Amino acid sequence: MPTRLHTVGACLALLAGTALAAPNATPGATPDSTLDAAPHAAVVDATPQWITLGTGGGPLIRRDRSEPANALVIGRDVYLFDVGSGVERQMVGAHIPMARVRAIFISHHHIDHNADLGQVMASRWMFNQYTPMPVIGPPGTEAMVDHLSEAMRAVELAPIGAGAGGKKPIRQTVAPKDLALNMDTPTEIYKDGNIRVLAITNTHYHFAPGSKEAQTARSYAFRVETKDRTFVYTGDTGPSRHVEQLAQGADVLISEVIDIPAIRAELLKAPPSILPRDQLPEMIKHMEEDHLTPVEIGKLAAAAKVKSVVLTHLAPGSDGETDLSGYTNGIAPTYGGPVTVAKDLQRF
Amino acid sequence: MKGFTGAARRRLHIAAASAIALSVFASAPAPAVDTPAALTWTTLGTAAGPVLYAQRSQPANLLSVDGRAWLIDCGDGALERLAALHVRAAQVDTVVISHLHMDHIGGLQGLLGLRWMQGARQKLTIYGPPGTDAVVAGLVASLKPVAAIDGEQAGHDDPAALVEVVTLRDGADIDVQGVRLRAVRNSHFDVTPGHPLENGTQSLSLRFDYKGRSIGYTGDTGPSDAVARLEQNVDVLVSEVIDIEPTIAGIARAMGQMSPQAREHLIDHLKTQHLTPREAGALAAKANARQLVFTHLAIAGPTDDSRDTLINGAKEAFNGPIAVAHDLDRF
Repeated sequence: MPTRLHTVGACLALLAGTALAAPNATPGATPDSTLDAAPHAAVVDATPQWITLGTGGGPLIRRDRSEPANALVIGRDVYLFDVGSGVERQMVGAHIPMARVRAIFISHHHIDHNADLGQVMASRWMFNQYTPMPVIGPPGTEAMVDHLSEAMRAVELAPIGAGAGGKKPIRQTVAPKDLALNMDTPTEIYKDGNIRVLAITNTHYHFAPGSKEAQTARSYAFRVETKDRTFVYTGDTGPSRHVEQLAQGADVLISEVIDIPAIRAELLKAPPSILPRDQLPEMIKHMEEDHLTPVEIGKLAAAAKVKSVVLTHLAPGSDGETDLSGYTNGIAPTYGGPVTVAKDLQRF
Repeated sequence: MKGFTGAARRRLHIAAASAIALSVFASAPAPAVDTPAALTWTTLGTAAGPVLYAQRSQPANLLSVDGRAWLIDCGDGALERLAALHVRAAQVDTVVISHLHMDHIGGLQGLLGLRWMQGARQKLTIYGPPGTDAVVAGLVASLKPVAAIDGEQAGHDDPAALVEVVTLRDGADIDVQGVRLRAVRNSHFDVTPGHPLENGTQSLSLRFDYKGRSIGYTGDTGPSDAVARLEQNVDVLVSEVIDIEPTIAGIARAMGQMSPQAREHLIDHLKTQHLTPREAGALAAKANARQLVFTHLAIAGPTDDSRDTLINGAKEAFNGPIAVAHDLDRF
């Protein structure tokens, strides 16, 4: 019944149309074929910016710092690096249109880094963005995208969503790609007219040699080269020669950071019945191996000769934190460049 | 190598370690649910989807049942709104879904994943319309790459063991933790019988009765006698609402002028599958509801700018108190 289909399709348009009526809504969410016809038009003069959308380390959701997510914006194009819970609303806050996302990169499969992948896939699809979007991440990414697509099949079939002569299946709007298990040198994993992305494995995971996890679990750092500037994002990592190699000469090193004394203080709030005190030293030692302390960040930044450092994925990154010196104390002796403790939605 | 050494077991992801540290608070009742009534409703997200807003989160609500946290719909941003109330994902043990549009379920992936990672001990039960089981099965399967890394080694169970689905259909009338939960099929998904869109799922309106208090929730619907019958004499009717004119104006701005015919079709669709303020008021009157609360606001601009329009429209048909909810308002 064409009339009904027409109105169903129109409803989609309506819902998208509200975006323009609301000042705080996703500005580019409305299907906009005029703009899409020339996606690179503004790139020539564009200065790339890295936006820290979420600066907290997960998985406890905080009020002041959203879960790990970043956007590289160049001209009209957007690239997401990790998509933790809340990423899409953070994008609204940063006035980044979902419709302009060209690719998603996932550093590792901890849930605080990928919890909103399905939401992002569905939103793009909802607003008729059908160009297959690369979703590039550790082994398991392709399976994750497949299963999320299965989960959203019922959404595709629900009235409205399936209107106007049929929308494409969500699965056809994404192009997932698993990174190689072994990546010991900076390796090109993506390239288009704006950016070139290189990846390398880092040291976030330390599983017993030979274990199932050691064979399959991988965490990566990314280097994003643009015409103007180069950004390196550590992902979650401990001290790593690989990351040092990847970060050589970068303009901006976006690094995770852990404030060990603050973490220790947090842990000591737990009663001994939950956290036996004799386990504490070993836990702390492991955290120092899996994450980067300011001292290690200083060494990394100096050895890689980066021009500036941005700290994100703050651990503990607690709500109401006012003294941020624990995230930077120890960097200065070895690294003399500018260091910024990022806030959500800050631009670099 | 089989099994794991003690050292490996204690090698916790930093976030998991923080979770343990903070789990000390989990044993105490959650601060957010120190509620005066046994059954209260907090609007977590008051926007109509699928467009996201900075000020209004996507459809989600917290039903507090003697301090237990239930989520009624779980759109994007639900977890962040819960965090604002100091409620962690792991504390939610019941979710009820009204219908399978993404704006009502976009937060489920995070809820399942973060509950698992936060070491939730209680199984999550998700009640929803036909098709919910497939949604949840897909989401659980999508956690496999995550669980393969931090599962057994970090002392976590299989994510699949942490969730179960109960399908709700038109006419459902069940007891959940002492709450009488009822559901009827509403008119949001009305399509011509036999149409390809008739895919077996349903859009539901819900009703919750507990210790003498009753709260009705329209979900997304157009005018519907079935909903009016379900919500008879509720203390609070939480209703969707759409302000048609500003929305149409928004489309006109975005896409140029519509033909009169297209405009007519659009209005017809909105009026039959959503509720205008007046129709929502009429529904509340027909249901003899004590109070009407508007959420799922399909409006332009800030909430308070539309407040009078919505309330005045509803007043044409309903005499009781009417509220236009903001995120985190409690009823």
